[in-house]
Amino acid sequence: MQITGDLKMVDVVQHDIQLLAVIQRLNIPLGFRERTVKEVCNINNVDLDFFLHIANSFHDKEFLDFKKFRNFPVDWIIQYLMNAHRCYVDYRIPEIERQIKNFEKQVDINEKNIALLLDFFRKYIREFNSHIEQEEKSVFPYILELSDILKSDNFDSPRRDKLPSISEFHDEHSSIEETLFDLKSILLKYLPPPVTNCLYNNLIFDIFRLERDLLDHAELEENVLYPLVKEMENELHSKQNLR
Amino acid sequence: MAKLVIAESSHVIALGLLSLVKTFQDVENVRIVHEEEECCSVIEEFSPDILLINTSFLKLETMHRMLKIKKDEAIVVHIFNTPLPIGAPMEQVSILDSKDILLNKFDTILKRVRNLSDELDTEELSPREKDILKEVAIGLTNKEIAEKTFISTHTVISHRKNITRKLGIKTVSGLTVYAILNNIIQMDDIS
Ligand SMILES: [Fe+2]
Ligand SMILES: [Fe+2]
Repeated sequence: MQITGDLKMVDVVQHDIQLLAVIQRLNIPLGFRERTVKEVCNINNVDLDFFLHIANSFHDKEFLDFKKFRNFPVDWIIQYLMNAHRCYVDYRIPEIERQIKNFEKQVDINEKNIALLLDFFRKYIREFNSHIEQEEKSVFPYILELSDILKSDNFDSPRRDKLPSISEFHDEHSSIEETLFDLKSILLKYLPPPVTNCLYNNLIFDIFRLERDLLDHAELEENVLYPLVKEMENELHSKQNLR
Repeated sequence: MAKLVIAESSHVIALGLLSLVKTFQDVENVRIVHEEEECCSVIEEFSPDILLINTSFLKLETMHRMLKIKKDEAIVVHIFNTPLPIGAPMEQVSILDSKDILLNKFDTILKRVRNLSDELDTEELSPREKDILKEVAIGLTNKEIAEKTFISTHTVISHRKNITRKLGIKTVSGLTVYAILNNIIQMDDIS
């Protein structure tokens, strides 16, 4: 199903609950009533076209194509990605950590496996934070600067000399969902549940959801944002050569 | 896990077969080919374990070429547009077959694929792989492991690939947790 502006927002979410994350990251509050996608976007000052492109890309991978995002300012994509970062760092990851930590209270003092898991996960959090810091402190500012230079018409500004290129970032862009995949394997295959099944399952569900979410996130970075930046770099080079 | 190609010009029949084979958990990936010209290149690049081919789909010469480029052990199943006699072999299915008959035939075919691949690999780690895992888990790099165990870095990497595939664990810290849980190393071994 392709999502269009005249569908009711509530129907869209009922159809694909994953889109709730998209809605939250565009700062659209719930309480849609009978409003259409178009109306909800208007009320919340979200560009309808941008919403439809993001939502359809996540809903149906066939739709995803960076060329369709050429007409939107890159700041919008970056803002979206940063909102997602906040959600992971402030809520999703601490929640998983909290659940593992909670297991400690419920098991025998001799049970060492929980400590092992917690240690594993905390190492992951450090890895994750430095991934996000690299993006927010180096990659995104670089892209914003590039976009400013292109808009300014002053292509020979001295700043550009120290700018790196997006391919360097792309090569280093590590897959932060791999550790979650491992965690899931360990919980499902190798660790006998130390606590009641219900709690244990809940943890596994949360890890699974976060893993999927991060895969989508990385896809937006690698298959939409980075190719767009590549084009911007080429544009800058050709404009500089014209002088 | 089996990979499948459906070579069938009818869109509706191809989708019907697709939805049927997807109910089997051994089926990992399916490609549909609608054009005769594409058939050989898809088979070459995708290397399926099972080929479902409509008898009216391929010219004789294409069929011959296809039989040459497919994997030796790949099973070819012919789809007929006409009814088949009762007791037709599993490699022959008809678009008129009932769901039960089709499920039965695919079940037999997939069992055969499974038996073939079981001989090729087991999921247990070999003693050699366990040794390598131990070194990985305590934090040695590929190069250090190669020097310590007198094998090439290349061999270490291929062992690591196998370990990852068998255990479903990709990262070093994940392998460390596995190794501790299974008493391959002790907590004190890691600094
Ligand atoms: Fe990110
Ligand atoms: Fe990232």
